[in-house]
Amino acid sequence: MIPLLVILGFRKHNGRIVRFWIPVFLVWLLLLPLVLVLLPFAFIALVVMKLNPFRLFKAGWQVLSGLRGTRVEVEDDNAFVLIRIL
Amino acid sequence: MNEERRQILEMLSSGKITTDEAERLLAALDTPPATASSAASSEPGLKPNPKYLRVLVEDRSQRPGKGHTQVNVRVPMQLLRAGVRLASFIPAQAQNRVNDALREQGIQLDLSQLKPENLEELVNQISELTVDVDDDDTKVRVFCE
Repeated sequence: MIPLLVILGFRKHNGRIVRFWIPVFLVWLLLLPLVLVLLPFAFIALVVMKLNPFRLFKAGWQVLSGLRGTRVEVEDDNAFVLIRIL
Repeated sequence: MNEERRQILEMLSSGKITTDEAERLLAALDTPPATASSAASSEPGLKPNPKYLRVLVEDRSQRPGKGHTQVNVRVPMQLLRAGVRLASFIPAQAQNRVNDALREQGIQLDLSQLKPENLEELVNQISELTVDVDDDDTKVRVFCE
C-alpha cells in the first residue's frame, strides 16, 4: 500500500519541536487526474526507449509502496529533523 | 471425553505407549494448532524475516560549533527490494559508469548481475548480521529488525 501520511518534524529557534502531519493520500487524489493525462505520453515514451512500461510502472509502484515505514531522524544541539512515512 | 483422548488411554492401557508418551500426546491435544508462521518464529534458530534495516549513529565528540549528534534511520526491506528491481531499468551505459566508479573505490560489483533473488538471499543472510562500531567519540550500529 502506498504511503498515506508523512510526518515532518523540526526544531524551531526557541527549541520547540514542531511536527507536521501531512495527509499524502490527499496529494495522491489531487495528482490522479494529472497522472491519468500524462500516462499515455509516458507509455509512448517508454515504448520508444525500448523499456517495458508495465514492468517499470510495477517497479515504481513497489518503490512507492516500500516507502511505508521509513524513518529518518537527525538530531544535534542546533537542529532536529524528522521524516516519517506511514 | 473425546475420541482422541479415549484412543490414547486405550493405547496406554494396552501397553502400546508408555505413560510419558501418553502424557505428551494428551498435552499436544490441549495445545491449539499453531499456524505455519508462528511455528517458524517459535522454533529456535529460525528468525522471522527482518522488516527494516536500522542505522544508528551517535557522535559524542564535542567539536566547536558541533555538539552531540544522533542519526536514526530505518529503511524498510521492501524498499531495498523494490530499489533493486528498479535498478534493472538503468540503461547499460549508465550501469557501466556506476560499475566503473564502484571499481575505483575497490568494490567489485556488477549492477547488471544484481537480481531480486540475489537480494532475497542477501536479506536472509544480513538478518543475522550486526555491525557495531564503538570508539571514544562515535558509535555506529547497523542491524536488521
